[in-house]
Amino acid sequence: MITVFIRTIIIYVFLIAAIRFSGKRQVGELEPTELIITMMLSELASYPILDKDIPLSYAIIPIALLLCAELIISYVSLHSPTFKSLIAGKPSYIIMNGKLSQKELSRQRLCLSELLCALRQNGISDIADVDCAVLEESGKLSVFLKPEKAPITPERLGVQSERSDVAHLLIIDGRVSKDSLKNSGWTLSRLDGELKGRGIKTKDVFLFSLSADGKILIIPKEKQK
Amino acid sequence: MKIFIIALIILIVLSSSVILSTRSTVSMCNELIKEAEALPRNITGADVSAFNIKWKEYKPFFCITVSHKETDAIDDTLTKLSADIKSGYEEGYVFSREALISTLERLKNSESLSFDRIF
Repeated sequence: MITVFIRTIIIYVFLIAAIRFSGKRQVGELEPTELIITMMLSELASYPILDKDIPLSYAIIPIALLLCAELIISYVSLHSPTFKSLIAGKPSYIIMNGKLSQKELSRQRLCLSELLCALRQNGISDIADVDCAVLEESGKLSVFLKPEKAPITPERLGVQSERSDVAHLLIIDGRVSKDSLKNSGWTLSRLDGELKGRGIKTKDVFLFSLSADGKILIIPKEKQK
Repeated sequence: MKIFIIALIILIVLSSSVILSTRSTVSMCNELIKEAEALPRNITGADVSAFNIKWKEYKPFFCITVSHKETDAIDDTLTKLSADIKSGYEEGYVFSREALISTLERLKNSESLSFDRIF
């Protein structure tokens, strides 16, 4: 058992180092530690299911150990930027002030065609339009256009824009959402009053939506045959 | 902070339970080896009932801590040993006794903490 325990720690640390050194392009959506946890957990969980000779404890203990390690690492990462950059890496500036850094590109083992592909995926057809491109720790490319190519915003036009708050869904499938009710500033009695005024019961409402400007949308439940 | 402390506590409990279970497995293996070695070298007067009782007592714990292949191997060797005693097959008995001791030794070594076992 202790051999399994120590092996789990060694493999975990080794995988973090391996993913970290393999570059950001391997990571994708997840952080290195999250990716490793996902990989290892699925493998660990499947072994005792497939092989009845393996005791359950051989999966349960390493899984619990990995989850604890993940929680501890994420906590330490949150409080120590140095540790975070050691585990997850730092964002890499591939294009800075409109200038492509070939050194950074090769350091990230990205070829030009891959960079152009990532730019196209961001809706940019010409690299000359890019002011700044950052390869994030997660492996995603964040792109910022040059000011003259950036989309027009109300701020740039000097126009005052109205806030577009999300609508509050007060009733979903006959159930009142207390959190939405609290966020909307409405009370339960006000909601009941509104429904009574329209001659409908809470349980008969499929959707009650309240927009930021006070507009109400009620969709009653369809009668089941 | 709360989650961090809980994770740390679980980690400590986990480590302690693994160390304890390893120590218990090794000490149980030692007892079983002693019991197996106490069996006579030849078939005359051989009786595995004392070993059987101890094995039945420890087996549920072994099923949690070691591979079921190992416990099955001990069960098989024990069955063969009992059969050899019943049939009076001397050669088979000597072989099965040695096999039982070596299976237990292997189990003990696999559970003991050693550098070469980890790598």
